[in-house]
Amino acid sequence: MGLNIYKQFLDQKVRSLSEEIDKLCERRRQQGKAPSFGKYYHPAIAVSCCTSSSVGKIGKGVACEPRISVYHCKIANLLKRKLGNVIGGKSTKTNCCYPIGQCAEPHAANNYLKVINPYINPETDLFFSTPYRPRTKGPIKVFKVFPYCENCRSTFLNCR
Amino acid sequence: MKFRSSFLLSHDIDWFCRIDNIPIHGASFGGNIPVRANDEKRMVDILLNIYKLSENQEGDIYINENYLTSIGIEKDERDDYLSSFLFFAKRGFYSYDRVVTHEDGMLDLDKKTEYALVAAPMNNGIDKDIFSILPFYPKIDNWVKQKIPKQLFSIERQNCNMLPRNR
Repeated sequence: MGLNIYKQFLDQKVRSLSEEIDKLCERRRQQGKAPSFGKYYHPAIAVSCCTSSSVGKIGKGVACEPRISVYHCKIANLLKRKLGNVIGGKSTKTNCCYPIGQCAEPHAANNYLKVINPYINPETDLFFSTPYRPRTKGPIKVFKVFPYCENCRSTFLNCR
Repeated sequence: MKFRSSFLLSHDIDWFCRIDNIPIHGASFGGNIPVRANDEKRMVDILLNIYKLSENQEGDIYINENYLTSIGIEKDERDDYLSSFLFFAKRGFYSYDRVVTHEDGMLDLDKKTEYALVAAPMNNGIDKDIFSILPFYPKIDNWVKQKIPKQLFSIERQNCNMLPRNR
């Protein structure tokens, strides 16, 4: 029940984030100039996160190329410990096809730590929204319910 | 220059090609894209040129209701889901979305990449402007042939829901 309350709140936030991203992409495409080619495209997934103690404050993240330099040391260490490899590599502990640190979830957790509170335990304290797809401004639609990926499920306790 | 593989995996790329003179748009949603379409500069050039095209005012738009139902699009989500695909369909493209059919459907990206038609123009005549911005595909890409269901190219005009133009 408690988790559902966070989910509803976070889903609203991630929906707004998806709308913002979509508008930005549209504007760049209409104007025909962007800082780099990559900026014309939607990220595949967007996610928001919060903790139980500060529900009003959220971390936001989108799927993007994994770079170790953008990560808070706590997240980098957590990912390495849980997934057995460095950011950008393949996990040695799961069969997930995604490189470590690419998903929106660790980026959202990273954003939370860097912007809101660096003292939380990212493994246990963070609650995540449903993953949204910025192109469609809605949850991911598939024939089965889209879960968090194996890497994210192994890393974050509430990502299940 | 090709898209970096990590960029492909993390972004929802719009890629374009033509098959049998049918202009195709695909939304990759973090999946692989055809080899021939894997050219960052070309794809961006095409994308920006499409944004310069005006909407085709003639003919209706076919919407693949079966697909929308199968993935559980609710009424209130419909407009948001369709907006991007309708944009391309209104400019003459058969617009496809990548289908995620399985919870670990991306483990083997190439084998499990499939696309489903979401929206397409109903008019027979295809705007020549589109071909002038899609000059790069003299032959059909085998990858595209395998991934895009052929039967969907012949859209039956009966029993399909059309989106009125004034919408």
